[in-house]
Amino acid sequence: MQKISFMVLGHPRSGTNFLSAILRSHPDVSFITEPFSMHNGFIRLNFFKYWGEESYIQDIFHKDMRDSQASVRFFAEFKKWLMSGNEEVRVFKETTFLMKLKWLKQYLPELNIIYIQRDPKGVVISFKKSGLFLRWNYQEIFYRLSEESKIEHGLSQYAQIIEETSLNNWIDVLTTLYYIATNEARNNLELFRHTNVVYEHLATNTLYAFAEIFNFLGLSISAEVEKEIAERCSETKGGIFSTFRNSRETCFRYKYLLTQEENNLIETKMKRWT
Amino acid sequence: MDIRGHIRNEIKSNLSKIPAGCFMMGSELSKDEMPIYEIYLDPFFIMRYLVTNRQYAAFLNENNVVNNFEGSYKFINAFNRHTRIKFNGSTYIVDSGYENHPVISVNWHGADEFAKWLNCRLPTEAEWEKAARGGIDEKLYWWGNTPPKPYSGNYGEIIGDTTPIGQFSANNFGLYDIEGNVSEWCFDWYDKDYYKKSPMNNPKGPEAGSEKVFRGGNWSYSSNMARVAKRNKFWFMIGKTKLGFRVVFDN
Repeated sequence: MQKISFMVLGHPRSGTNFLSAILRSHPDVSFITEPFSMHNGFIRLNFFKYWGEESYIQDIFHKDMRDSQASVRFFAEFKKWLMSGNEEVRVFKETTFLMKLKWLKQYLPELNIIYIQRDPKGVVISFKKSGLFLRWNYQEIFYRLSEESKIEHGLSQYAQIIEETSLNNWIDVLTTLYYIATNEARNNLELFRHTNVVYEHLATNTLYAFAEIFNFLGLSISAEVEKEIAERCSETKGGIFSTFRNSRETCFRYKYLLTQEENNLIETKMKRWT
Repeated sequence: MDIRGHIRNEIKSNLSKIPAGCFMMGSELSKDEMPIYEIYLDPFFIMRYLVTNRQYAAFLNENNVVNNFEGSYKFINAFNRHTRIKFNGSTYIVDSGYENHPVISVNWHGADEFAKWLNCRLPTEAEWEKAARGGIDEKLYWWGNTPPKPYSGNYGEIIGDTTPIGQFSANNFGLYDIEGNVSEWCFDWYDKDYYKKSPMNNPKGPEAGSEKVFRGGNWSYSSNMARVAKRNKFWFMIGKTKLGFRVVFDN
């Protein structure tokens, strides 16, 4: 059986962890959560950076990794893991590759992508409730991106939306970053064989949605997966990264938690630029 | 002070002897757990408790381990803020309050090197399962077939973090945290078809592979992971915040 590999891709707080938890429960799936953004310093320094195809260099994987032999070895070993194994499907999840798909196509040309997207209002409210906007320092991320957009050709199209964003309004900043990252991802997904998943559909038609996703992986839903879905979706518990959620209750919660002004800001911005 | 000797004595004073003999390994609940077959194991001594952050930090400090380099790490994930051992520039220190929690974020090499430091080793998958079953064959969990009750162990995000070792009930061999807290690295490479070709005496897994076996439940995963026969695999180069280990002595 030909080795095939997959990546779960999505903006942070879009349901990527939940999707991953269920995929991982299948006995024929080997899964790694965020091997780069949680285990490699080079990627962490470049988390929200744009990487075009010209930044890929064979043998060292990125033009700025020449002096980081340990990172080069990590990238090489990861690729080896992804391409090895017998008949199981190898999958990993990353949120850091949204603006790096052109580079990724050089690094992992045979990759297939499961792209999950969520209503930006749901993403924003998740950031608000979890305090992650501050913890992950999104204001600084936005500032660096705005500087980078002045010199990086691939980001020049976003100059105007960046200029129109108020740095002191965290919802404005987050919505702009969400738009740029997901727009980049959507525009470059065609480079890969991929499938699109809508979080709200996953949350409300869970078994049916996962049957489609596993079909994309070349698998069927197993008894273990059904059991896992039943256990994880029955009640909401755990911290901000927990994947035990009564998703039918939580996925539309933003309707009650965003103010009208916040709601309008996000909707207007997304409508204008999409 | 002989830190290594102290840690070794501490661990050796809390071992359970698993007597020589046979047990039924596997289950009918997953393809890679089949067939159920009778395995013979020589006697061995296994830690009752998981290796703690305090013990692991001592290992790192005693060996002057250079863990972080060139954007990568050698044994323990330096990039995840949930890793409870931090390097302050000269020493590895444990986050306050986490000294007796199980160490997490250690890759397989990090677990293996700790074991070698103490002249012992990681358990084989067969040893882990025999020890976890506590002498009771053909049950799903070490206590029987009933799924774990909430708060009977640390699993399924009920608590949302690791807990100090030994907080919940021990199995019949005196082992704690089998069903939860953190999962545990084993010695073996993973092969989903291994049970079809495994030797009957002291199996040690295939000669090579790309992933190592880990066993046992953890604070984040569902109750299915608490099954004693459940097999798991993971890339040996990185650690997980749900994955630690315990060690085994041959005598």
